[in-house]
Amino acid sequence: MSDGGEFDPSAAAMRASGQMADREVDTASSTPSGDSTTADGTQDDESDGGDADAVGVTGALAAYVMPLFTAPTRGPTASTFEEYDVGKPWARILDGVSDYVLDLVDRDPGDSLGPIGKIGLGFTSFETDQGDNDSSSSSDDAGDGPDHGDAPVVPGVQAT
Amino acid sequence: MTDYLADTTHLLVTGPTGARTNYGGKSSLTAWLADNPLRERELVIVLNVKQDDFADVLEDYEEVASVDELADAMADGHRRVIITPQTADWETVSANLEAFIRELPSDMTKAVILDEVPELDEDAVLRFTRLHGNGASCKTVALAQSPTDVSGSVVKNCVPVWIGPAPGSYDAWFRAHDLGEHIDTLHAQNPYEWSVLLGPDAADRDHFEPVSEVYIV
Repeated sequence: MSDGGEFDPSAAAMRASGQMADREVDTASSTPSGDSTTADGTQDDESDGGDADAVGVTGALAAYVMPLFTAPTRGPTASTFEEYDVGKPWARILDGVSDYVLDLVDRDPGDSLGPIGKIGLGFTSFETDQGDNDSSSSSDDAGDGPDHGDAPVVPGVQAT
Repeated sequence: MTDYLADTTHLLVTGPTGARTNYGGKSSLTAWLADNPLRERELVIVLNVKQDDFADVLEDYEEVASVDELADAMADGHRRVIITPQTADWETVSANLEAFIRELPSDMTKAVILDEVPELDEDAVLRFTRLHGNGASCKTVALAQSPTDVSGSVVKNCVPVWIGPAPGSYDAWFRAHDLGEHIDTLHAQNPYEWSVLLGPDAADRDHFEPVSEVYIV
């Protein structure tokens, strides 16, 4: 940067004292390009609103959808649901949902399969578990562990 | 007794010194000030328009090239900064610095060292010395080869600091500023020694030995 005639001492002082971030936010919302005054800039405000909406939707997707794929799991908690007499498919689904919720509230990070994997595992179990509930209870090595067996292939999620 | 070295008393450091006279010392004295008494102040800025090697001496000072970069350095937490402009437009740099200082919180204690004051923006230098002492808690250390090269208003608002021997050609200037009592002593002052002229009487003069050679820039 050079010390040219365009130097803004006020902005520089705000930046120096750590207030520039707030100022940039204010500037972005109140003085869009092409109009530095915007005392009554309704058109500019509308465009700002559209941008804000787009940012809001993107932010919501990042906050609520991405954890379905990226949130860590908390181990084979499906067995816990089974202990409460929840059937295996629903136990797995609830396990994934619980992991998803736990991630949203930022609690207890774990490992292995992501929530969407667990949920998918639960749904696929509907088909395989129909009519053979008895056998599943006797050979639960393929059922309790959400990280084993027939986990569906989900982009971005690797079953270990 | 020497609070004037650190408080908002402005200092005008003069003396016809330099490499060719072998009596250099203003910049070294400046480096000593920046490394010692001025550290009491929260923010110290050296405007190094002549691109001296202050950064080699003031090792914990951050060196930047513009006032904009000074702001960035301060945002990163630096409070000891050397501005070494990569431009010959020293007037604009000094004007920007003055405007920047004016915008900083007044309760932040500051010190600004201005080298080659006669080459800087005159209005900016006047505001530094007339307004920013108490108004912005900003001490100014102004450097000039000769006190006659700077505005009379700057002289009035600063305490003169004379380094090295004073040539006889400055006798009239000393008398005109009611400092005639110091003439003989300053004629005999050795190279690199410096005196602070606080008033008209001999007792108003503080004499100092040369600063350490480690401050030679």
